Amino acid sequence: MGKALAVTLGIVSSIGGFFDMGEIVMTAAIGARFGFGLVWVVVVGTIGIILFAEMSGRIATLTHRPVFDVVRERLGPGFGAANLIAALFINIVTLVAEIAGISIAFQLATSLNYFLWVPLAVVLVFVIIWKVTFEHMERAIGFIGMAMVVFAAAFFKLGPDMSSVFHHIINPDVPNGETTATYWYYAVALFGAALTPYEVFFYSSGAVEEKWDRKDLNVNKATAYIGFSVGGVIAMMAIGVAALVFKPLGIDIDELSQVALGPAAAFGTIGLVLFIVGLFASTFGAAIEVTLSTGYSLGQFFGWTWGKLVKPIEAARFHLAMIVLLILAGILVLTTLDPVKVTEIAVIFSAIGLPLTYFPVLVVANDKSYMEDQVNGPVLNVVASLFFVVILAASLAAVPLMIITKMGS
Amino acid sequence: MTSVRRSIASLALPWLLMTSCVAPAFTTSQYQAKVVSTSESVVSSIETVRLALDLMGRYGLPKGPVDVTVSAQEDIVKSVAGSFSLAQPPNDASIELRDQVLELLDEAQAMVEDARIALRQGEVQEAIIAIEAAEDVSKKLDEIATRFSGG
Repeated sequence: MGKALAVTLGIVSSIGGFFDMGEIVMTAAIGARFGFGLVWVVVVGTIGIILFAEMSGRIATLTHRPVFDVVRERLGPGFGAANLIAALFINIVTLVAEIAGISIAFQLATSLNYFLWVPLAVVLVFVIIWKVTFEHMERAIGFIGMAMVVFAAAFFKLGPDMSSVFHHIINPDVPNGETTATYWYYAVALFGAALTPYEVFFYSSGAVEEKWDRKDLNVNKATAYIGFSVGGVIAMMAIGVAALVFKPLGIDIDELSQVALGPAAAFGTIGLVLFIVGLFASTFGAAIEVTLSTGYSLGQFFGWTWGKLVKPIEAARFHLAMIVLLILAGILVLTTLDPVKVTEIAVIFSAIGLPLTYFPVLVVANDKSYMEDQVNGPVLNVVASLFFVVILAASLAAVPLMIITKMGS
Repeated sequence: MTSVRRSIASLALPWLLMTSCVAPAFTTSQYQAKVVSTSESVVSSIETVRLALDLMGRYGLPKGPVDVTVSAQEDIVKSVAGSFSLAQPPNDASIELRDQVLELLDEAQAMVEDARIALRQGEVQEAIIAIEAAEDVSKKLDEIATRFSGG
């Protein structure tokens, strides 16, 4: 594959991959409640996911070993186990949200209750993981996921007063009727939505499976820097659409179907259809990534044979773990858990567990015995270390804020 | 099992049964907070239905996704109204407030229901008319929410 094509595909995949159920729900809910007051969090979160993904991709490229494996070796099995438990919990909750998201996309397209679509969603995710190559999976889902660009187009079509928008972005404030605690609770939730650990484990394990080497370091950089930046800009526009459409009407986002009305308000039926297609691709792509990420984490920690490219019979435990996870997630969706609430829980716990996944990556990215001449440069190191302080603060604040605000209510 | 453990177990069971059956008692401020959250939630649902039907009228959105949206909001209004009716008002002033809010919630439920029925019959204009009638209810609930939230 030509380098330009590889870079383009990587960028498209990461734009599509940036959006998942967490981003879709949180950007809409936050725009509807806080207007443009929390857009700055997307900027911070995007910088974070760029740093996190670039370091993880670099580690996987140079060591030819996945991040989880290196972390366990470098920081010991105790830290590795803590990392694994945190990742597993977050992944299960995230997968529940994504499976619900796929089913709701089907519901919006067919009007049939989304519970009826849950078994099909579970089977589809596994069949695609089993039968479709990485390349086709990334291309198809990445390109279809680009339908989420409808948020960017919708934002401009709705004709916002840009001076007022910039004023609110630069001078964020807590709107009337909201408390400072709820403002910060949603800030942490949005931050967690941008930095879900599965994205990084999937990304770095995929780099190992696709046998990236030094020649691919630039692809890694371009994918992380450009792809996630564009994803971040679209997320800001999604907040903008919600701020322009829902906030003036006093609409709170309790249901995913409400989010569709944002693009529909700008482009009518085409906006609605693009949203449904984008919702399907985003949640479907995320469900595949979370499932694989969980299989990778377990396989790498316990030393099983793992890999999507390994024949299922040779990596039986890896595949069995994914099947069990998918069935469990499907059952949990069918217990009538509220998909929006589950998504909120997933992103908040993502923020809580983030130091456990980010810190080891930061340590290994600075270790010459693994990275040779590709350790973090001084500027990157300062930024990445400062970012760890932000992650730690968000993680420590998450539980108290969750309790004080009764989960943002 | 020791006698201490046995007595704890014998006390715990009735306590658990009692706490699971009795609605929590509200103070005046807690009850007013419940009024605010209920009113805001129903206003949000009415406005969502109005927006969905307005977009359907303007752009000819397909019936399916609009029906999903309207039905979900109808469920929310029913659930919120049901939960509010079970909350125990702490004093006479709260009982008066409760009656006022419940009346508005009943109207909201009926109007959202009418809109959904008309929509499913393919009568989009009827559905729009039904939900436009809820504008007044929405305004009154919004005023109540503003009054008690101090906003």
